[in-house]
Amino acid sequence: MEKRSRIGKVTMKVGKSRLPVLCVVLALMIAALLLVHSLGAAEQKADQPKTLKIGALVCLTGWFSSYDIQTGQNEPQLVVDTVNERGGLNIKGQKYKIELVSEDCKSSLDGVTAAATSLASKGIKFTIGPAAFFGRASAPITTRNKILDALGYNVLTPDEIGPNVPYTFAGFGGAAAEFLSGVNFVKAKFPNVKKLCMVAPAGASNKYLLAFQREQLAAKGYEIVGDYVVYPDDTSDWSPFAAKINAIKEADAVMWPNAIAFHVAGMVKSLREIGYDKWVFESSNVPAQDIVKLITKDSARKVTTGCFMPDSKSNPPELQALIRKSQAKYGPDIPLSMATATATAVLLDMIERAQSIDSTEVKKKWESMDGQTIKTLFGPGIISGTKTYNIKGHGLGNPVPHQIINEKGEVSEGGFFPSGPIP
Amino acid sequence: MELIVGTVTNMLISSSMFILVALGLAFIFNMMGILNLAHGTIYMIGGYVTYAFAVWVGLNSWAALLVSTAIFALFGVFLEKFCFRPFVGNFDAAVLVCVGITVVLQNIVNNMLGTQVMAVPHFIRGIFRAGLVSVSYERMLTFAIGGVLTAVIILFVRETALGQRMQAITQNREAALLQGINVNRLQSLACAIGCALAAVAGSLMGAYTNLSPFMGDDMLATILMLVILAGAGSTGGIVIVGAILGSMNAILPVLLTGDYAQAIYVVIVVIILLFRPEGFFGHEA
Repeated sequence: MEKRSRIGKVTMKVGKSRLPVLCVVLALMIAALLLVHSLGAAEQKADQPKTLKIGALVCLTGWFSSYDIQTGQNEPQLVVDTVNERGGLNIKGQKYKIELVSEDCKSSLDGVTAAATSLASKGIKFTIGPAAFFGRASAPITTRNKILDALGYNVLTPDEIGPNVPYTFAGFGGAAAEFLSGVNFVKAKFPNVKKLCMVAPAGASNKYLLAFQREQLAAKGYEIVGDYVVYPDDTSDWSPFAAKINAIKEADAVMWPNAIAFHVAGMVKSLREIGYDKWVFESSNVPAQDIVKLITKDSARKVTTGCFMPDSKSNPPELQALIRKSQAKYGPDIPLSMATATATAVLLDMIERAQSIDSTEVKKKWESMDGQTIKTLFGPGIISGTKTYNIKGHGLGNPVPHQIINEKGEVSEGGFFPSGPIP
Repeated sequence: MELIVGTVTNMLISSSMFILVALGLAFIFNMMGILNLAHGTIYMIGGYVTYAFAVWVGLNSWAALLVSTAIFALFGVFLEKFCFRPFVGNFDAAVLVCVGITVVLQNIVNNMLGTQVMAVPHFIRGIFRAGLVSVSYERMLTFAIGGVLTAVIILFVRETALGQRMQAITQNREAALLQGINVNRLQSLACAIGCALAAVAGSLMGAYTNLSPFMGDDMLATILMLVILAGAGSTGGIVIVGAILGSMNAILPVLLTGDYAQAIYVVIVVIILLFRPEGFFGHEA
């Protein structure tokens, strides 16, 4: 009601004119509060780590599972746990915790195809594994879906790593690095050996790998005697193959670049039983202690392997830390490899270097580092392999540790030997 | 020359093991008409049980073998009564039961022990050497035990009253029933013998090679081929075909490389079956 007194009118006018101002001020205050709140929420969200899923293609069932459960899943999980304990990956200020998502490859190429397809359907953009020759089944699928795959082990076929599958990288030296390191080791420790009988599992006897081995051995002055003795990967009776090796009399020793513990134990036992007493140089990551455990010192004699001693002072600190973690979590008797664990560590390192979770960006970063040295669990690794894989920056050369089982069946350290860059 | 000597030795060992395991499978198949697809798994688990008693319990390897054999003989009785007898005449259901047993047992062993390297401790140590011949005593023992058990089983089936009754059941189950033969009891006995033989073979091979949750798969494929090639009801046929397949298993990897040997092996078996679908010694349909 309008007051007629002067004071009242003035009062009324002042009251009326203040109301809009008050409303405006109030509105501004509410807006400011809302703005501050939303900024605070954004900041809070930025502090909360996101999850980055890494797929693991691993043989959880079937004949390869005895090797792959530990190597392809358990050991990479330890790497993931270590990274997460440190706060995860830091990508452009955003923290990412890593989650490992395993898919069973069922120890078959069909199983690998199904597992890779499953991971792709879940939207996963980074994977590790599978090991050995299984990679050729996953590479077409990961490439088609632009999933960057870091192999823990590869056997040099262009189906695994090559220009047709540009999203697959060697996260571990694999057959090439182990072989080159093995040759350097034999040359240093056994200089009198010149002629070799070569042994290979069927899964690692493809023409590319054998050609690579022949070329490198010839370059280092070695002669291969007779044909390669090739055995099926799931062999249980080794006696026919031991007989074949024994028949190659001119060889000074056996060179066996790729195997798993069961292979080496079975073959060496059969060889010793038929009186074959020459050295067996095996250069892939087979723990020598497991060979002695399986076939006892009676048979486990004069063998070398490409594996580390768990308590060695020569082990790089990161490797030793993972060894201790594995022994604490899974027990001291579980055989250790750290091949796919190395691939996991290298993959996560590359993601952080690229400062991106886009697989194509990480791919570009990785390829741009051709010729450069990076840190691996086994020491400094060199991104290389242009000639071997016909694609730049997809291979990796890394040092490989070696063990020696002497004439009495005693295991000792052979030392870390570099592979050098993969040609 | 050494290669020939080594190959002949391998032929004898392979043949004796194939025959031993196949006899067990044949017993069950002939008596009940059930193809025990879990037989390879029993062979595998037999090795692991022997390992467990020898290493974890601390028994002598021989004692562990005897205990394992007894356990699997009893397991055979259990299998017959609860897993096979209800499905006699129902092939599909019996196959499913066998596959189920295989998957469960294999995965239990794989999950519990799959990542650990294991072998049954030696039954006997040392190597016999004479000229070109160099053979471990363990391999000789494997062959000897396999041979002796095979001979005992064949004699049992052919010469004993129980064996004669088992043959009667194999030839005509209904007629055997009418004759007053206790078919169920004899079926239990057949299963017990079959599973015990598989366990013995698995234990011997677990010392000769290594233990693996999947070591039974290859053995099952081989003995299925063996039993089918030998023909239904023919124990003697199993011995002869076992010797043939054991010889192929020893010779082909020496002549051929890698997986080709396995492929040729299967092709030869298929060709034989094309010409003789009832097997070498089976009865014409």
